[in-house]
Amino acid sequence: MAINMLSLKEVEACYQKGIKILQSISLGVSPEDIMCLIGPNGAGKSTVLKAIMGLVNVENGSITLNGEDITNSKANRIMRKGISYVPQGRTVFPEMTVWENLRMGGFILKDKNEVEQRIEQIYEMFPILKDYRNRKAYTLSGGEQQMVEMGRVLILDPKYMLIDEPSLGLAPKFRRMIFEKIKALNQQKNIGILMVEQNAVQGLEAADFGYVLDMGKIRFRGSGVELLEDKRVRQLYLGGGDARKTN
Amino acid sequence: MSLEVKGVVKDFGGIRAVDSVSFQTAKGAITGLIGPNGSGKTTLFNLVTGFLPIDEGEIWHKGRRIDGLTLHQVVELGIIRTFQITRIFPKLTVLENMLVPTRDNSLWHLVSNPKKGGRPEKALRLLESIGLATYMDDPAASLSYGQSKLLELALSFMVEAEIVLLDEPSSGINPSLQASINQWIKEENSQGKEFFIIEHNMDVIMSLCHHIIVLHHGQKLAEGKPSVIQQNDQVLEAYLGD
Repeated sequence: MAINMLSLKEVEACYQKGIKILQSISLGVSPEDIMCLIGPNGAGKSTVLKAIMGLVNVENGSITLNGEDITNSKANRIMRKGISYVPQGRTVFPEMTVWENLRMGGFILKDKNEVEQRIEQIYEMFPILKDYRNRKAYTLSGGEQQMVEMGRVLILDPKYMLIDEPSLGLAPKFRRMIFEKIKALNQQKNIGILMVEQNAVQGLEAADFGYVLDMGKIRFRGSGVELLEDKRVRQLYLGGGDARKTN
Repeated sequence: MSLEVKGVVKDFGGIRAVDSVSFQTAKGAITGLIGPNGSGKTTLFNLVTGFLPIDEGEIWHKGRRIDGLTLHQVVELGIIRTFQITRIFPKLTVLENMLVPTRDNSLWHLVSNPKKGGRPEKALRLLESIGLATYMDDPAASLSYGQSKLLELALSFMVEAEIVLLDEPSSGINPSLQASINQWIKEENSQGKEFFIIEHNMDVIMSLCHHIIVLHHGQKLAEGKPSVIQQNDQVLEAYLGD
């Protein structure tokens, strides 16, 4: 097994005993990778991310980080080990300023100077957040709030970032911007990305590698390009037709 | 003409979210509302449906002034909506959720026999076509985010309404279901139901809408037929990018 890697091996997970949401999921992400999970609603995509973060019970199989077993560890311990998670939907603290939101991301860090330094680095990555640092988060647009969410988890200087539907609810222009930021995080900061996308075409275009999940199992895997060109994948999961035409 | 919005203004603290917006929707049409994030689209929906009071201007529906009406009065006029963030009843089953808007909603009926009444055949047909029929008897809380969105959308098709306002019906929905969702919208529209749709998926907007209104910074930037909007330089710059 590769050492520098986040790996899932035959993972089975459930919310309720007896109802397996994930069935024998095996996949791996290295810090060089952008991975994209696509599939129908209810396929188990978000559950894969939650299983890694210890937010859903893994009944069988194992999750390892650089060879160390982290299966069913607590979320805060997993974050300390270098895996950050941006959940689905808008999750900023709406009444807090941008700066306060970013500081919340460093809640588990004791050294507050360190938090401030990291916030400065995040401002370099997302200059608009510096301009808006004193604005309450709810006054920001959807795309800007998504940047706050990404910035907030970067405070912990993660090696891996799990992102659930980063483009959800974003206008076409902002959607492209967010995917570009994700690519930049991967290329410049060497952060391995595992994202879930319903905007499957753009997600796969941004990704090095993709997995198609359906009914809790991996049905297809391949490079982003391979999946986009696969007729069955297009028909079943990308809405048929010429998938690349979308927006 | 169906809805008429005249010089409507809405401020939040020091921020003008909707700035003197005026437009009309044609009776029985599918009207699209697009614009960058933060341009005031959802706020406009909140104003039309009475979720928020307007600060200035007027809103009319079929010759009747509706700004200032309460939420339920607006609903009684046949104007209903869905939300970006879903609002379903988590402890009711998927099927029960579907039947809530279609039946005698007295408290007694709700507690005595929640599955009786309404139009279960239509509910089942809708659930079938979005792949939720297998979860019919599960509590809605057990659905994923995308599935809850689908349920809420399906639910809006259960209501007898004149105008349905859909807030981003395709976000978080797998593209393979888009064709069936478009089909429902077209079907219901052909029977006279009017739609007013916020959407970021341009394929959906361009293929469904008869007329499109574009908002930017709370103001109306443009309006017109899909083919005209697609060529509008200001819209390309502000919204579509590149």
